[in-house]
Amino acid sequence: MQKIKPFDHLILILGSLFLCAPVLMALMSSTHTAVDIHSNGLSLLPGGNGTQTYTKVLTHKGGFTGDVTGLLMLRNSLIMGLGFAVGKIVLSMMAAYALVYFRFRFATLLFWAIFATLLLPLEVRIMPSYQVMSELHLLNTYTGLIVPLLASATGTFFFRQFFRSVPDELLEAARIDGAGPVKFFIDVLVPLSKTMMAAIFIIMFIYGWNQYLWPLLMTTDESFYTLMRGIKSILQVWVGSQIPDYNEAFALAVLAMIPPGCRGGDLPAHVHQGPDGKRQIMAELTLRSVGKTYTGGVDAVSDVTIDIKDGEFIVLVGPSGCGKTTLLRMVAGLETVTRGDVHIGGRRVNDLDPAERDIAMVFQNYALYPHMSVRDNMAYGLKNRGEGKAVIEERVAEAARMLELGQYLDRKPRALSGGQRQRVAMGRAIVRQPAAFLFDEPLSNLDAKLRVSMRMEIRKLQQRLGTTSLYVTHDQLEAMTLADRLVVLNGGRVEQIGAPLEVYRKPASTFVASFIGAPAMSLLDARIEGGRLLLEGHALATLGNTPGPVTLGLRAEDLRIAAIGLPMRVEYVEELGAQRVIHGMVGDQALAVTDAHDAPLGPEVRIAVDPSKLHLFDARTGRRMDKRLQQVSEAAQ
Amino acid sequence: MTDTPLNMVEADQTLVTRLRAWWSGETANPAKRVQFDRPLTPWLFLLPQLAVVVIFFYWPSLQAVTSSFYLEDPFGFGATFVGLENYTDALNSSEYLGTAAFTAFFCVVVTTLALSIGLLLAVKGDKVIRGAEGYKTLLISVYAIAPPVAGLIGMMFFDMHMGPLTELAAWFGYDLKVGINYWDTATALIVIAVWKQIPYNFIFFLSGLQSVPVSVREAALIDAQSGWRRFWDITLPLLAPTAFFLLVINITYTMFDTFPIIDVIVKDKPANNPMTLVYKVYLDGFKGNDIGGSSAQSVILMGVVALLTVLQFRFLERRVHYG
Amino acid sequence: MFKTTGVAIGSMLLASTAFAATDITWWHGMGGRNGEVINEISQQFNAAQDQCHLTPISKGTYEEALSSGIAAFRSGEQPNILQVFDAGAATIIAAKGATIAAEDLITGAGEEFNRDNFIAGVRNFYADSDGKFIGMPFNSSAPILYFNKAAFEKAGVQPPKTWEEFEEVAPKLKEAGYLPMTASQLTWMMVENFKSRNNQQFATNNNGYDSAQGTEIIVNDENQVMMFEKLKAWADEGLYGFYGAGWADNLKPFEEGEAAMWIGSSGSFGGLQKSADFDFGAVFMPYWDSIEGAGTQSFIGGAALFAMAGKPEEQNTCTARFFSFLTSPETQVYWHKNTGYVPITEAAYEMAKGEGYYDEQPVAEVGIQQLMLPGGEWSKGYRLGFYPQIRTVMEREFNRIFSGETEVKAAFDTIQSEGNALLARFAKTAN
Repeated sequence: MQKIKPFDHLILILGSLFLCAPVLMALMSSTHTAVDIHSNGLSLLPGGNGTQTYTKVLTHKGGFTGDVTGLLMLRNSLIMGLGFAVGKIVLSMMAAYALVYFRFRFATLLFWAIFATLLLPLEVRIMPSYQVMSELHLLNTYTGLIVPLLASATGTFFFRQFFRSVPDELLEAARIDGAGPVKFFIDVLVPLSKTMMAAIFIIMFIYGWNQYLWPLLMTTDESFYTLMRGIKSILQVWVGSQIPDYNEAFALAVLAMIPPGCRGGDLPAHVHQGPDGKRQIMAELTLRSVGKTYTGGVDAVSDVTIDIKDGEFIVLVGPSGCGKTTLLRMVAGLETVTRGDVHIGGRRVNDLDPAERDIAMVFQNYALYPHMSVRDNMAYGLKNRGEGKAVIEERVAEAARMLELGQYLDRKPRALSGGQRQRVAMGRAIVRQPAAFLFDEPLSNLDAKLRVSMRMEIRKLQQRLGTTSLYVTHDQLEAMTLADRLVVLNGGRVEQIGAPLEVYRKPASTFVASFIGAPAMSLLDARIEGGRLLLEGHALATLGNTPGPVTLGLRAEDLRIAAIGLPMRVEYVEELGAQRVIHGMVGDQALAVTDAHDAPLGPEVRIAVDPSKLHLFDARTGRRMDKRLQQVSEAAQ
Repeated sequence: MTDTPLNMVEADQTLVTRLRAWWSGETANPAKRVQFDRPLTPWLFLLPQLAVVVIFFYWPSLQAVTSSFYLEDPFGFGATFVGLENYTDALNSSEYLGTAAFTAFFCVVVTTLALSIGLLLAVKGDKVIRGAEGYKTLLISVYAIAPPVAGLIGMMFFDMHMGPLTELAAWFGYDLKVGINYWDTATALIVIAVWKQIPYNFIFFLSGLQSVPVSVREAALIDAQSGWRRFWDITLPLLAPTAFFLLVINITYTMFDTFPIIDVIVKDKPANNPMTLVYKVYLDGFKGNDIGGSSAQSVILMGVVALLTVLQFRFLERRVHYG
Repeated sequence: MFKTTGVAIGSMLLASTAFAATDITWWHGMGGRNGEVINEISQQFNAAQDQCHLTPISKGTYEEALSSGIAAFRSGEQPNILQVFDAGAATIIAAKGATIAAEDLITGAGEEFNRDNFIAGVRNFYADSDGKFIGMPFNSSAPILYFNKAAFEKAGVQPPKTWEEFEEVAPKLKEAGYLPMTASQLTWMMVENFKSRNNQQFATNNNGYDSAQGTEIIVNDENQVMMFEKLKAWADEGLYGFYGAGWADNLKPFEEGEAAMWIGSSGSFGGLQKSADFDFGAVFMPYWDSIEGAGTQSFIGGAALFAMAGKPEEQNTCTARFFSFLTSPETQVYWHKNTGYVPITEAAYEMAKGEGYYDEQPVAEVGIQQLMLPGGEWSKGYRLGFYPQIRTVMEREFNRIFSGETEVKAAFDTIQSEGNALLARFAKTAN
């Protein structure tokens, strides 16, 4: 914390005085008489004429230019402020929605056509606007007072920015939930924008309320005067009455200060959220030569073929950028399929909307609708599908029981912990009873411990429900533990498909070998020469393979420390408690060995290699090679 | 709201590729990775806004351009095509040029003063605020005073006969003549315009300051001894988006929203008093019924404002770092 | 919001059918007490007959009333009667087809009309060059010199009739501790009515009456420049106080008893009675004895009523009736007494005099007497387009003169050239 100097206070006190004293004086002056103000100016003390002035200003007809009361002006100002703010919000939300959430012809052109208005406020074209208004017979109407001010994109701009910040998953979730453009707008975006709307409302209300020039032009009829216009007309000096009714002007000014003074918060908070569902249906999921090329020519996914049996749990795993999420989203219908076919339950779904595919999706950030309770979040997808109330209730209750969410049903997502939100997201998927569940890294936002327990829950749940599931993760451990079968992806291609243990034991390529399993499989350059596998000059096995360079794969747990064997320089040791991983060098190649003992180690150890457990890969392509084991090797000397 | 409003600096695209993109509806950078793909629905959502924009923005703007080539009888009985005469008349008039020069001067001075005083108070306030909410409440309470109200209060303060500020000036031996002396009136306008705008700037700067993470402040405290250095090197750059936003707002405010202040201060009689271009448009068009001349001024003003906006975003905004 | 408008329109329609009377509207630019008197007169008119029903509506200031009227005319929503102030007269009269000449309207409706019934000073200002009334003079005023009686007693001098006399009495008033004089709206007092009171030509083309084409103002002449050089000199000597272009700012020192004289409108009389708590009198606006032929009547200030074109016959008849009603001596006297504006007909003046009104309020007679002074060649009026802007130019230059930014001659050269440029522009609009 910085020190506060008296000087700082001085500046603040002076600033406050400078800014506030005049306002206070205006307030006080409204209680003096006009003549008093005329000859003595503003005052800091009350004047005793307040009741009279305010009564007159508010109710007396003819107190100003003839036949208008302050109350009427107050009403007109309110109409102007409210009408402008509401009009602004409605028009600009709709326009921003169209611009952000739709792809259509001329979208860019329209965007610029609307946003060009930001360059030129109404004030620069008052005269032609005034003429247009008079041609449209809109002078002295509320329409004329309010609507032309709406011809500016400020609100559209704010809402556009806001909509862009709304997580994409929300739209995706809603589409899977079967919400069309209108439903999505009304059920999701509008409630979601409440904070934003409130902020815009305040800003726009004040803008409309404070308008001066436009009402000056538009209202020649006193019954449409606003407070600002009223102040102006009081200050006008007519030859017949020399002293303007200053007291009344100040009284109006005080009235004019009230609503802006009561303004609420500042601009907008960003919001986060997301969606949902299940059913007992035979659902195989088939991908046939599926490919995706983005505009610009980037191939995200190429030629993927997977057959997923009903009730199977398939995990797509791979490093980031491998195309696994894109693949999942193609299945969901959130990305178009460039090549190949996707079938769900025997139906070709390439051209179906997400909502029509009978799938449910769980998103990484859960994509819960923040403005809906847990119950409503789960029920939303069902409602859109026209399920009966009783059914919805029953399914929600069932899911809540399964997920132990019963006591949270009426809470909003923000009142839940990460794990609970995760369960709600699951619940949304479950209640739907879809043909397939799609999971997009659902656990990556949770801490490590929670992740392990949620992993178990997901697996148990899926086994119970027996719903076909496609699950995306970059975490190989998660993939191993969850999957019936793994699909390892790399660079948009399938490297290997298989049961976890199969993939673990027989990695199809060096990529899979290094990606699956921890610690990662050591990959070393070796040679086959004269029927022997040679690593750094040491023969490890007798093989019948073609001579030449190979990549040798050794899993740490398949090796052990022995009295004789491959010499390895010890570099460092990872103690894991139950075991340790010894990292060392054979020649200039790295090798890891798991060891269950805790005996002290020298600078060099000897490693015994079981020839049946070594993996061979083509040195050039990295593909797995069959070993042709000749006989049990003797350890090298 | 300190975000980039518009991506003015688009990648180099030829007109043809641009047009093609417009036609197809494809954009290089779609706002969402998934969008609805329906031809008609977006038009329905856009229709109200488009209608308002076309009727109340494009039509009058077009009308301004066409009217600017005519000298028109205000009642609409006849119009003489005069080509560019309205423009040359305006641009050759020393009064118009003087008004333009004052508008520019007014913008620079008001914006500079309102921003720097607002920032000063915010920086001081930010330090003190945790202990003393009072200042904040006081300073915020006068936020959003309507310009005509500010003008009314200012008018009393600068009144020739009994204004306290006039008396203060007299005490220093200066005969302050607001309404008569050009620069005296200019001073009054500046003081009132700045006064009205400070609380607004204060609020935004303050919230900008308070959103600077505590860790960053603490790091700065360790790294830089002098408070001034900390301010220059850390605080100010972090405030740049807020400052840029406020700069745009303040310039717009000075150019347009000071109209009521001027109108109240000059009491319907512009005489020798300084005024802004917008006031001049109003004066010639609405009060003087010179539609052609006023339209030409509108068109010039549109050009200037549009240019200014583009410049602001092209040059200034690029230098601003968004956290 | 749309609904409210609809209801308002609906109720207006209802109102027009509910009564058999023909509705006519009158837009004016008056407020305060004067606005109230307008309402009272309208009520009197409505009470006096049952065929017509007049609704007066205040549209703000004179300028706003004119602009509103123009905008309304363009959208076909013009009122029957529009009040237009002196400086705006050229605008509306030049727009042939926007109005029906008051004289034609009245005679067309079968009402009696005689130009000679009007007092000399008001006959020409709103008439064409043949003397036909285009606008119906309504609130007419003259610039007169108000003086603080106590101040003059204290200084032992008499109110000046000429500027030469002013130069004699002013120093004495100053000695007595007063600011000798202030004046509101110098454009009206010291230019337009300098021209009329001293019988000086104001513009070519017969002060603009003959044609808008080629009309040029004449303001940088020797006499006009002399007037302002004197004013500037007096201001420097503390004999005259200049407080800008605002009406009230210049009036205030007089109201507060600091200034001994104020040149204002004869129509200010009513207001002054309320705001000044001392005894005051009034005399004619001074002229220069040294200028040959000076001492003529002044231009009328104030405003006239114009009958807008494009209205149904029966409404025009009502408008004509109202004009006749307005010029009746009773109405004029009521108006005169309640506002301070001068009565516009001889008959009304005689009636007020007969009632002994001027014995009670001698100040009220000053304006009308000044308008009844013999007319000169150049005191009938002027017809200048874009004149509000020309006034604005003058006001700007006057401020510069008195704040020492420019010389008087240079200022008037500027007014001359900018004024002529504006007139030339106006000539192009009025084809």
